[in-house]
Amino acid sequence: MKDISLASDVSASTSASVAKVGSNETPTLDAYDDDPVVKSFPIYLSSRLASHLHIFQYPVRPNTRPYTGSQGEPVLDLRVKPDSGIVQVDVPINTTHFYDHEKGEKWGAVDRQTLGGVMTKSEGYMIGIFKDAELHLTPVQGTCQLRPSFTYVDKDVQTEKEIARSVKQDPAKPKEIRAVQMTVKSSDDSAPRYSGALAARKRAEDEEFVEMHWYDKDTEEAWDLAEHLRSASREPLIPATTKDEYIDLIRDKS
Amino acid sequence: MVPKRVPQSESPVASSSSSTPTATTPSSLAFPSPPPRLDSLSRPRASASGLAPTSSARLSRAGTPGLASGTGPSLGGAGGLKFKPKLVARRPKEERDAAAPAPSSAPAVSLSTPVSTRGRGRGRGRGGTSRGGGGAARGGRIEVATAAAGPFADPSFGDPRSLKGPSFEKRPPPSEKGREGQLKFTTANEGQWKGLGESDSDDEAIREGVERIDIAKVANVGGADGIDIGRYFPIRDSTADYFADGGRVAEEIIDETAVFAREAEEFVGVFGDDGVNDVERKLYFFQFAPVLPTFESSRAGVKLEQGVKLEQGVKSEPGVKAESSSPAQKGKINALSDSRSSVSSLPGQDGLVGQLYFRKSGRVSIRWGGVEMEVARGADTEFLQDVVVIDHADEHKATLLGQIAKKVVVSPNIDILFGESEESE
Repeated sequence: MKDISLASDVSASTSASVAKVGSNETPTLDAYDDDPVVKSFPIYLSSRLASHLHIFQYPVRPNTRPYTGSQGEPVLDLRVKPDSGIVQVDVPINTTHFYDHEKGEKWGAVDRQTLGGVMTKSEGYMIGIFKDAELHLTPVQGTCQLRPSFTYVDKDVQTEKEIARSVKQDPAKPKEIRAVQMTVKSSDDSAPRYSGALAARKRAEDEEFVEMHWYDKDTEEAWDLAEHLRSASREPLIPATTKDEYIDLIRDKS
Repeated sequence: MVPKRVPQSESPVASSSSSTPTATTPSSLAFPSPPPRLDSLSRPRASASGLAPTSSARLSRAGTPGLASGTGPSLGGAGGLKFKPKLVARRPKEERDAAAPAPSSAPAVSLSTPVSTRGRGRGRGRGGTSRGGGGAARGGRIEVATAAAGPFADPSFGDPRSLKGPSFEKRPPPSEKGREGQLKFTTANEGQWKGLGESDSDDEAIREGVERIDIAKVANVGGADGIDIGRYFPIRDSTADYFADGGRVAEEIIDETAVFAREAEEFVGVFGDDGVNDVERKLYFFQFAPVLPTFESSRAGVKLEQGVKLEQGVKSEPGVKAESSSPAQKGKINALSDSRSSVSSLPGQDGLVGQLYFRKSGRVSIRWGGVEMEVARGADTEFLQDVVVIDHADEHKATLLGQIAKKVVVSPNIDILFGESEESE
């Protein structure tokens, strides 16, 4: 394959093609005659992993230090709440360097930290791989951003609160209060209920985590699945929209 | 891309400053002597007194690299540092008047173009109005039209090269998405740089031998009106008559073509050329428009049109252009209009949907289901992005496939899209 030589006079070809578009000529590929195609790849759509493909973004982590076994910092655990989309990833903490043992003990020292995020459904995103001079695209199901979540601090704070509360509490009173509350709650449907975000939050809290089995990169699993990124078929798919119809589609959507 | 600072050779500032002594620091301190143009800023202080040149503060503001924190002498000194603002002697009126070109009486309407002074080339986001060299501050004000340049410039703005008359030429808007982000830098007159984006007012007192130019008042640009832009306006043009009067200032215009070529090269390099192995191990993130041309999800209608040529996979041979099969596809679509009830945007089945083209110029495009799309490189990120397969089927498995290597953005080529549909109407 020859190298792609870049024309120095790009602007000329641009203006030429623009001029042609502006004129009454049909702007097809021919409009770019002075900018010939030097290389082309067929593009295949692959759907096998489509509903399973997700992007995990770690905004706080440099891409030079991935969470993989080869880097010595593999993901230890993954938990998801499928309906709410809550994702939690446990990664190890290096306790030898830059680790505050004092604080570690304060918060129930563990050698791992939890990163949390929420999965959102995505549209139009695809992962592409090149294989044998072909581009294979698989649509992405969702993306989530994982940031350090300070659950250990939350727990700590909560525990403190509970301790404080139990110390303060007058044994006689609580019973009364609780009784009153119970009455209110057991009334009919007109009882105040959470709505909107609060409801979603409550649902999310009530949902149980599903523990996932994590397979690291470069494992057998990973290699096998990566193969699935390839399209299952080389058959050409039949386009179902004309350009005009496509324009309408865009208009309708927006 | 930061424009290079090209050392100037003939600016008026430099020439005027040559008259002042260069040594500003006491010999006891091994500081590099400030570049010549800053000499005018500092008055030679007797090293004997050990006092810092009072312009040390100014010097630091002037942003001499390396001396930004204030020249050493400020440390020393008997009795501490005294800051005395330097009083710049105004050039005598004759000199100013002589230097100032005759102000034109024509209204400066056409020149109230939105000037992005930020785009002076430093890219620092600040910076005062463009200044010319020479001429004292008040009185001899000449307006100069400036062109927006730099990262926030309106790309359709006339390029400074076309600054002949009061109006700007519009550059043909770049049609390729990939080039829209092109940065055009024109660095201002070196002599105008006082440091990292200082504002106007700071410099008034500082400047000696620098002509002030009031942009708002410049009526006309161009030699014909007696104003020699070349003298006051720091943008260099390749046309010689611009600088007929000398006063040529050094600056650099980054050739947009070269920039694009380089970026295109990198972009193409994203996909690899012959390095198949390398490319094949990478995961690329493609961002398509949420609405894409649809495909038949069932293949039932295929048999209807036998002779129609569909888009076939083209072997990657250099110089091969894929045949445009849209007319064929259109015909087919009409025939199959009945079976379009099962159309989905992304068919549940796999198959060939398009072609990825690399052109000689480095431009990249995709033909997706008959629609031309522009391909551009997306912004790279430095944070970690993993591709994970989550499967809840038998066991709950999550598998890390790898990191995202590069991002690619694909959008419909509107020119072609609308161009052709107008045709058909």
